[in-house]
Amino acid sequence: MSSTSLYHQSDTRIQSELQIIEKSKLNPSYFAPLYNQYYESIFRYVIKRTNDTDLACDITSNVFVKAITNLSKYEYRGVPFSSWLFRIAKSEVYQSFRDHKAKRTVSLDKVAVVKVLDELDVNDLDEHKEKLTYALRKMKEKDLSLIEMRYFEKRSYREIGEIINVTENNAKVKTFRALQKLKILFKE
Amino acid sequence: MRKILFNKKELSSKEIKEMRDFDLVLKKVQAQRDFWKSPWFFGTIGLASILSFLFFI
Repeated sequence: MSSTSLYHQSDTRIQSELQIIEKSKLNPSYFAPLYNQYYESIFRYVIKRTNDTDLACDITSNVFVKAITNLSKYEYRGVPFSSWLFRIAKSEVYQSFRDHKAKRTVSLDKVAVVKVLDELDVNDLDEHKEKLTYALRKMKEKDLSLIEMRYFEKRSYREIGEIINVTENNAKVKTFRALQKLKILFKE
Repeated sequence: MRKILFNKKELSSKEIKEMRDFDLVLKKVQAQRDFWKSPWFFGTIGLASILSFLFFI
């Protein structure tokens, strides 16, 4: 499943979500449909970065606890609820790295590897696997996170912008710069 | 050092669905609310405030 498949939503769906959110502010048990809807995408986001099923389960659970606890602070300003959840997930994942509960992991599937190698103007993974591993290890976390969201998770610039709290255009520029840095490291 | 994983087998949607536990989430939310409301919490904060006040005067 693509982790971004729930991102592009109709106005009707957004309105329905907002109604659930308003009701959940008074009674958290109304939040269940949103929990069921977003659990998988948040879980996949977490496990790709931690590679630990039990920990990913705990972190995902905490993401929803934080979301419900802070629901009164959520206001719809054009940013989908899913992006707000991913922001919390991002923060929880980094907290687990700081607490040394998890080791930073980068998970690449075949399609993602092909896409990245294409951007790096090479095509044989076996020949360039070590160089790619080196480059991904050397990248700064902020740059890696952009490459990960854009090329490994296939998110739109708009969604990336909403997750990292910048405009769509700024997300595009930042991702382009991150890719340039990856290219430099790859050629080292 | 970061771990880079190539083509790791992903869990299926069904497996992930089985991990969902909304009741646990609700319990954790309730536990947090009870903590903020507990006399212990306010007693500690109150005591710390009084001690800070006394320290500064």
